This record gives sequence, C-alpha cells and structure tokens, in this order.
Amino acid sequence: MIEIQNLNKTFTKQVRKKGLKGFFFPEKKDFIAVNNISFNVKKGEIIGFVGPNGAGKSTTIKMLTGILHKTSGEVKVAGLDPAKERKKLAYKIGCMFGQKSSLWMHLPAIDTYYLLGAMYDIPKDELERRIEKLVKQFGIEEIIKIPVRKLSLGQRMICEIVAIMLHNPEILFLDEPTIGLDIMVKEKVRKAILELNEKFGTTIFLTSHDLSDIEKVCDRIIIIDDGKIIKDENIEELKHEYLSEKFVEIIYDENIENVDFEYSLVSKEENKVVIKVDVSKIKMSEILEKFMKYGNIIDIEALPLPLEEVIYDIYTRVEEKK
Amino acid sequence: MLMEAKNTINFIIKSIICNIKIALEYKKSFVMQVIFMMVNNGFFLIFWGVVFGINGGNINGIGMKDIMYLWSIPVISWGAVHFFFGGIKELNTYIISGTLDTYLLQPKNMFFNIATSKCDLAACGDLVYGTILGIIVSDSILDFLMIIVYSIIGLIFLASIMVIVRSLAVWLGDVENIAHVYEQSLFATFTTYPEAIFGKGIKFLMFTVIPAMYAVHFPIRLMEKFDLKIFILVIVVMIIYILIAKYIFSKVLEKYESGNNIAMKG
Repeated sequence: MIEIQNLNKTFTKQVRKKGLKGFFFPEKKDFIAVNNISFNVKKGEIIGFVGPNGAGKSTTIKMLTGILHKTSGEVKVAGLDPAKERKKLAYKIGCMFGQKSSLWMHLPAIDTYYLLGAMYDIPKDELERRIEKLVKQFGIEEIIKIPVRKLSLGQRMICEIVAIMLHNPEILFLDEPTIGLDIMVKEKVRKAILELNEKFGTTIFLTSHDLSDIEKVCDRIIIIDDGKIIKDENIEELKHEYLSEKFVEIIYDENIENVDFEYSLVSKEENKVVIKVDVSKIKMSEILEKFMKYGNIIDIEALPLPLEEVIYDIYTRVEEKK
Repeated sequence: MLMEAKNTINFIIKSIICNIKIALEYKKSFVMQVIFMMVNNGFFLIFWGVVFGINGGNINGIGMKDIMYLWSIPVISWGAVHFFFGGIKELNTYIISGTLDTYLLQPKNMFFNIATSKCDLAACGDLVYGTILGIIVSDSILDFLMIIVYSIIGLIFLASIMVIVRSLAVWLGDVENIAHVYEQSLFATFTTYPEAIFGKGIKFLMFTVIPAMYAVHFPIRLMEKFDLKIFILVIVVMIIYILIAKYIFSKVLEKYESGNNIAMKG
C-alpha cells in the first residue's frame, strides 16, 4: 500500500548572520529533514509513526500525500507517485491534520459532506447512502445538523473523521488526530480509528506525540529521529524486548524521607516510591531487602514498562550514541 | 476532459452555495454590510451629480452616463470577484500559514478550490449596486447584457492581478499591504474615475502593470461605440493576464513549503 525506498528531503533555508551584510545577504543552508528512509506498509495495517519534534514525521507524511516534493528516492502510495499524481492520489487517501479542519466552521457538517461529495464526484444517491452509514456508525445523526462552530471539540473530531471517510479512502493519514483533546474524546477518536480499520480494512498511518494513541491503536511502530528511522517493529515485540525492565512500585505505611536511592528513580510521592530496574540483573528479593530499611512496606508491585518509557529509552540511547 | 470540466463547475457552484448559506447564517450582519456598501458607493454618484450640476452636466466631454458606467462595470467585477471568489484575497495568507496543504490534498482544481473557499459578504453590496446602476444606465436588454459581458471581462482581469500580486507571498513573505495598495488604491481608483482625467504617466501604468484600460475604460468606450479591433485587443490582453497568473500560480505550488499552522504572535 505504501512503498518507500531511500527517501530524502532537504530544505534550503536562509540563516541570518550578525551585521548589516548578514541582514541583506543571509547565508543559505541545507537542512536534511528526511534522511534516506525506507519502509513498506501492507494493506490494512495500522502504523504508528513517532518521533520527537522536528524528527521528520510531518515532512514524511507531506511527501506521502503529495504536499511536498521529495529531494530523492522512491515513493509509491496506493500504486501512485504522490508528487506526479497528486490529484489521482487524493481520491484514494484521506487526511486529517490535528490543527487543520476540513469542515466549514459556520455551516452544519452535513453541508460540508455534500460539498465533499461534489469534490470527490460521488453521485448523490451513493453519497447519501455513505453519509447515512457513517453517521449511524458514529451516532452523530443530530450533531451533523448543528453549525460546526457550536460543536464541542470531540463532536467536531468525529464529524471530521466522517468527512475524510466519505470517498472511501484506501489509506488514512492521521497527523496528531488527538492533539488538544481531553481523555474522553481521545478514547472516542481511537475507537473510531479502530472501527474504520476493522469494518472497512482501511490502512492507517498515524503520527502522535501521545504514545497511548500508538499503544492502543497501532500494530506496528516506526520511530524516526533526526530524519532517520531508528526502529521499525511490531509493538508487542518492541515491548517484549524491554520485558526485563520493570517499574517497581513500593508503598509504605507512612511517609518516608531521606531515601538513598541506588536505582533509577521514576517518582516519589509521600509513601510511594517508583523505581526502574532490570529484573534480569537484580532480584526482587534484593530490592525488597534494601527498601525495607526505610519503613514498613505494605505493598510492592512490578509493572511492565509503558510504551512511552520504552520509546524515551530508545531516544536516550540514540542521543548518547551521537 | 468534458466530464472533468462538468464536475469542476458542479463543485464551484456547490462551493458558492455554501458561501451563500454562510451569508444567510448571519442574515442581519449580511444585510447591513450590503446596505452600507451600497450607501458608500451611492455617495460617489451623489458627489459626481453635484459636480455635473455645477458644470452644466458635462466636463470635457464626460457626462453622467460615463460615470454611471464607471460605477457599474468595475463595481460588478469587484463585487463578483470578492463575493464569489473571495478566497483569492486569502491566497497570500494561505501561502504563509501553510493552509494550502488542505487544498493540495483535495482532487479538484486548486485555483477554483481556493477561490471559492471564502466570501466577502460586503462585496454583495457592490454586486447589487453595480447591477442596479447597470439596469438604470442601459438603453436596451442588449446594453445590459454587454455590461454583464464586460463585467465578466473585468472580473477576469481583477482575479488575474490578485493572483499575481498575492502569489508573491511565496517569495516576499507578507504582501498584504502591497496587495491592498495595488488592488484598492491603484486598480480601484484607476477604474472608477474617467480615463480623461489621467495624465500620460498614469495612462502608461493603466496600459501595462495595472490593466485598468483593458479591464474597464476600453469596455466603456465599447459600450458607447462598438469597435471589433478594441474588443479583440481587450480579449487578447485578458488571455495574456490569465496565462501570467496561471504561470505564477503554478510556480507557487512548486515553491510552496507547507507549514504547521499553529497560531503565533507577530
């Protein structure tokens, strides 16, 4: 569905130097945004594409959707070259960028849906059938008749998802779809994404800084940093790699102070201490023995690392290598 | 090809209908804007009426009918561009803020998609005012139809120069003030005063970089007396302006670098 081979994107930017000469004649510098990346995505897969700010996520998505032209390399999305066949590709993909809306703010969503029908040349009967099906699926029959500006953020996001699904796209590109949403709405959006994948077999390419999105929705994760792919793995496998690392949560019967930690401290609040340990190297009995000297332990629990911690660890290792 | 054109026209109509629906969503504001714009335009005509009253109805061969043409043809063009294709006015903002992304992701013609994305409600006042004046000044239905034809020609000129000037944002950054001066202070002024009052230097501009002669003054001459040569000249120059606008717009799409549209100060 998506094939990328040695993809590169370089931007030329002006760098202003000090002084009058620097003001009038700024120096031009090349910045590598995407550095020789390659990967394939199969039909029906849900990919989480993550990385820190400026890692090259959005640039990659924009090259995959035809917004930006590549500097070099090969890209095929749904069998098409996004840069050369942008219009044809637009019929096969749906995009939702967290900060940008495709709905007309002052009109009810239903009016935008009819406009999108004309945009994608969908016959009226077929369009009405699709609207009815999607609106029913997401339970927004009444919401679509209210001007979008009067909707809550969560209702608007669901209306956005219906809007990008009207032309039956084969691939959905979702760039930060849950940005700025509260936990309840995030859950709704995640549920909607999973439903689209299950019911329509839509391939989903998702970027998010909220790693719970990736953990709850995606099958596979691609981690990008500094324009390069540093990990491309099944999420469960990735977590398995870090299986020996655990968060150990120790709860005392009263507040404890002056603890001399030999282990990596994650948090300490009143009577609760959380540390990160590699249980293949340190025995739990050893930890228990050491922590018992600070007070009476009433509970101790070893938890697998959340994905967020795994990815933070990967970033840290890459930074250290640099 | 024919199917694509049909689908594009269908899309343009639906998009304009959405804009009209927005106007109706704020009925009171819309009606007030239309009335204020008509009153604003009306003052200019009253002013000219007073001037002609003092000077016996004619100044250097210019009569009230010429002024009425001047406040009909270009005002219809101006109103139609801003009401139906108000998105052109946003082109520079879309370029700077990275909003073109949304349009690049959609399969319809980029220009018409952008152009019909916004509507300047007050411009409906221009459209109505120019049309009423056109009806008043026309001696026959054919006269009125010719006013509409020349207004469409003026619309194409205005839309082309707006695309050209506002596309410069991709190279120059913020061009809002440049565009404002070019469109409102120069083009609007040169098209709403009789050509006889302008000197040679200004006329040179009106024949070249600010095509007011072809967009308005030649059509007014044609309203008074039709001349095929002038008509062909107007059409040829109009096509040249369309091609320049099309070329520059295609360069914008090549040079456009997208963005992350987060509201920032400054």
